[in-house]
Amino acid sequence: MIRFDSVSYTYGTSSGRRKALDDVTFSLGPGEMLAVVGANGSGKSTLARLANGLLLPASGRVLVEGIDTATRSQRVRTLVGIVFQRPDDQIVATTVEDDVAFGPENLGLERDEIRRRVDQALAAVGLTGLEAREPHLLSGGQKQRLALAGALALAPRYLVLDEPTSMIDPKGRGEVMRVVSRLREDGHGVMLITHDLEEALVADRVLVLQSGRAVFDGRPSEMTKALDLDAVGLELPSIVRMAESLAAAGLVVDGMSETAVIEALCRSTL
Amino acid sequence: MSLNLVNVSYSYDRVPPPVRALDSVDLDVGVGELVLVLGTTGSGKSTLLLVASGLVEPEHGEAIIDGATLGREHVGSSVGLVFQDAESQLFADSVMDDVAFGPLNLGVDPTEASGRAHEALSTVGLQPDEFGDRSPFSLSGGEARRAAIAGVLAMGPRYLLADEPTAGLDASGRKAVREALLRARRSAGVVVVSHSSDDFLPHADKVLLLTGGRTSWWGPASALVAEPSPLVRAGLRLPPVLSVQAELHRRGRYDQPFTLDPTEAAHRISQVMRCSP
Repeated sequence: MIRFDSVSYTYGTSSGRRKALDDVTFSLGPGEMLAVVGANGSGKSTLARLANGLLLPASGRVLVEGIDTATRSQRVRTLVGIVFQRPDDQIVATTVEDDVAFGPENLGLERDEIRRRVDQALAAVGLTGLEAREPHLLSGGQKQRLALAGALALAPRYLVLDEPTSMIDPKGRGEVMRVVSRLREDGHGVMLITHDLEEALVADRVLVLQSGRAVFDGRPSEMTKALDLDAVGLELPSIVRMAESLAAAGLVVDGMSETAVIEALCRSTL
Repeated sequence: MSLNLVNVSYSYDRVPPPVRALDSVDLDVGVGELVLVLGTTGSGKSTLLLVASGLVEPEHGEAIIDGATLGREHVGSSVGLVFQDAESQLFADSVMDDVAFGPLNLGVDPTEASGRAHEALSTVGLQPDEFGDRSPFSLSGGEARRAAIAGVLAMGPRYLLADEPTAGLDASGRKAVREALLRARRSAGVVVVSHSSDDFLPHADKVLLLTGGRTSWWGPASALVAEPSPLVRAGLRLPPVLSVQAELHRRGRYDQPFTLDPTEAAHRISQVMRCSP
């Protein structure tokens, strides 16, 4: 389990100190998908960097499987993989397979083990067959899946994804989100950081940040009732507004995805 | 007054074989209109913007601005171009200086340039008194993007072209940029290029759909909303509200006109569902 225990974090700036995270407490278990949402500047990316010890809390504790990240244990870094927003910034090698092998090589693993991990990671993200391809020839969605494969090759138990789809086109976004769902099914704990509420709706839980504070932690379906989304800088997806209007008109719709709305409507007229 | 592309083609041939990025494409945007150009990555959208701005001459066909041949002399003063990540080009010490730089550079006198900068900042929803003296680098993502758009507007273009203007912004930033471009439409023709119909389809007058450099659809936005299957064929995602209506229609359960408005869509669906046996 990843556990944030009353975590605060402060950045020093030229105009003084700015609190990026303020007394945040939550946890993420294996096989669970937590979406972390909030407007730009709400503290989402800071939270991502605290989860694997890239940043250490100013106060409070972050525990990964019971290990305090403040101990700077290497174990934390291997338990929690992280993927950032811009795939181009995360690619280091000149072929797809070398890029994925970079992490395991640095861990000093045996050659056979490296081969096994590279093959497995590329299969998990659907890039098998592109081993020899130069990364700059990949599409945006493929590059981001390559970055994911690089993180997976270190065999993490948890994955922190910091707005992995915000810079790629809708097709690439769909590809990445399908891989993310599969990783959760495989038992990985997934922390998906996003400002797209449509993506957040498929998570088990949503943590909403506003100016560094956690203002909601619960199921996606409860979020729209409990929160004034406008006030936290988020936009209610149009499909949810539609589902709410349908419910008000007496057509009960359980769930908020496109498919859920369609299925519910078709059932209601049978 | 209008900006027209007539039967325009363009190929990239720096690395053989030549790649035809645009193939016999027509476009027509009038002052006061917003045209949305949609297509997947690699469909020719960005090349279209380069040709329509006058930065790149078409290989075949014609680019015409208000009856004259479009050329490099029109870039900036007559046709403004807002690139992706436009905010990365902000450079001055204050927002006001940054926005006034364009007109000053065109030889406009300082008083007039300052007046234009004030007006452009108001158009994009950044009040000059509040934002004028601030450093461009202290702005949020959405504010910085709008300041960059103001810098283009201050040059007084009759046509404004924007490449993925809302990409990478959060909900409030996207909304503010959308409103800025809709206000700009009052005095200019606006072309927005995007791979997503979510932000601008409800506001567009016309839509050009590009597939592999060719026109796969061109017409009034309302006609595309009424019959959205060309979007799907072009590999684009339907806005979810439209997708629900299209799927219900496909299953023979919905025969109302399609709408993008979620509340209106729910109303129409509930009417039909009540009538069903």
